[in-house]
Amino acid sequence: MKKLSDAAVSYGSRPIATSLVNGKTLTLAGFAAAIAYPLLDGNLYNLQLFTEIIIISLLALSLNILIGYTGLVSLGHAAFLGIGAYASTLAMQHVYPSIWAGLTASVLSAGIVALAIGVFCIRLSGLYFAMITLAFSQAFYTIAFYWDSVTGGDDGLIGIPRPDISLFGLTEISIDGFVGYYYFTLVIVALAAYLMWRILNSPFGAILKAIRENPERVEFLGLPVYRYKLAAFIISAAFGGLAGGLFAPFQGFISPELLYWTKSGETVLMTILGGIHSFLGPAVGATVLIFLRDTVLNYTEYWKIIVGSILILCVLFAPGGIVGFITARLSEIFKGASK
Amino acid sequence: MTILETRKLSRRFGALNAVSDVSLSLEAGEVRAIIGPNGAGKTTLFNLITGKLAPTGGKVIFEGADVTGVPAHALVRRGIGRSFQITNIFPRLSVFENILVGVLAGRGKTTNLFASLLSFETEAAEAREILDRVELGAKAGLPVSALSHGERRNLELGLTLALNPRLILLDEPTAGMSVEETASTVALIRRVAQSATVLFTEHDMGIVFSIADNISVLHQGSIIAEGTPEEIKGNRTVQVAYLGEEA
Ligand SMILES: Nc1ncnc2c1ncn2[C@@H]1O[C@H](COP(=O)(O)OP(=O)(O)O)[C@@H](O)[C@H]1O
Ligand SMILES: [Mg+2]
Repeated sequence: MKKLSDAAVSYGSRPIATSLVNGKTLTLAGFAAAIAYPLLDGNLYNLQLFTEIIIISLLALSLNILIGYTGLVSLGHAAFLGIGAYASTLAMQHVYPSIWAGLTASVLSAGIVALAIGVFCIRLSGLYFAMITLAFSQAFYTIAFYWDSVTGGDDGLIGIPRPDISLFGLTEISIDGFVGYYYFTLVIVALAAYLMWRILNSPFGAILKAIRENPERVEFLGLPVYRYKLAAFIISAAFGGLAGGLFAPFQGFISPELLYWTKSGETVLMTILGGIHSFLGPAVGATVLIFLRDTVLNYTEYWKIIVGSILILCVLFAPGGIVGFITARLSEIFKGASK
Repeated sequence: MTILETRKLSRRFGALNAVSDVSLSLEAGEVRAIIGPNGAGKTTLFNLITGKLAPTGGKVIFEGADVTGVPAHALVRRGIGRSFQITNIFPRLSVFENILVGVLAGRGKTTNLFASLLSFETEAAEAREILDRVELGAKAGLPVSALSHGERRNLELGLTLALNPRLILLDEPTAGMSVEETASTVALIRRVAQSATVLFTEHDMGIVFSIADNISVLHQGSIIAEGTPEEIKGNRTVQVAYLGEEA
């Protein structure tokens, strides 16, 4: 019996629509803690770290639409982070100095680029999909690196503003400070995560899971698998772009590094580390990985070795990632208690 | 009325003529069996009719329209459903989810991005009804991994029925089933056949003779005989080529 429930947990075979219900209280508690946090800890360095965690969590969550839900491992997801970051910066600096203009540009540009390259990528699957996404992302990296006049080349773009936001023209709110930008990020990411969750728990989301399990059979349910995958690719990219749109004003400057393949690799790592079979797993992975980097960097600059080792342990002993591991243990405890 | 027609349908794999010049004609409401030894080309023929494979020659006509080359998903939309010889379901979804996904697809609900899955009560009710029909009602909440081989075959069948096809192709629906499972599946096919046209392959001649209105005999890719069960039983060519020494 133990085997069965383990499989159920780590393969996410609980009813699609209820898979987050158990985690709902936890999620709300986490959100409440995130709201209270700046009031409890005045440390600005930590606040910045958390802002980064929130933004990168969105990036990992968006990647998991492909990896965990649709069964497509993209090795080029950072391209959308970068495209979103450049698009929002250029929009705010040259078109209209509003954060909304920036975020809209980041979402749209990432979505449009995803549509354009998705037409090629989506025809492939498995390793070939991974390779072509990697290739495209490196192409975008090269463009960002050499297109000096627009992207600032190697140096990137600096002086990225955090314009005040106006609430229905009634009042202006500054998000320029650490606390203001933290809350702004938290709200946007929470809304984006909720939207993603709705999408993944809709009939469309159920079809993505079915495609992950058996694309051929989905075809024989009368659905054009190709279009569903393409839609998933675009949605994933749009949310990834939004992460970029939040990241640029956060860091204040951007450079081509944002699109580099190691950044994509890191995003895949945090997604797997956290757990691809639960909605919030990738956010947990992002949190752990960024914390680790921050802590280990104090002792050695070779933090990637430590992180790599942890990932190996994770893959060997907790293939469902951190969240998968914890859920499995918890369900064992509860089953023991109910006997 | 003719629902399905194949005209000189052929498929080569290299030098092998897996299906050659097969011309079939099915009346709406008919139950037709395709029999033939392993390797005769039955599955390949199904793959050609359902758009899984492109023919190297010939045509497929469904409800009067030439559907040769139409992609598989579009043929399903037009009303052709199939089950597979090798069970082809969603292994890490629950039994209920497997069928629900089929019902949602059949009703064109799957482009809905924002409505909660829980709000599709009509579809959920239909999914439960289908599970009852294939005798899996009691196992709805289980993962597919908890099902026996025969139960998975039934789930496969249920997934096909979820789409309400007018023409149903069943590729060895009872393969590997126990005697009791076979009996209930045969009963189910009989019921399904009351409202749809059925084209099926089956190794058990008892089953074939008891449910088929007509039988086509496939041998090395070609149809060598066609007729009612009685005619096939008495056919010399078939006895020599297929029923062999037993006859
Ligand atoms: N995709 C394929 N590539 C090459 N040969 C194939 C393929 N599919 C089937 N065949 C060959 O075609 C012949 C018919 O196979 P099949 O249609 O599966 O027969 P049946 O279903 O009657 O047992 C066999 O000789 C088989 O090896
Ligand atoms: Mg076969």
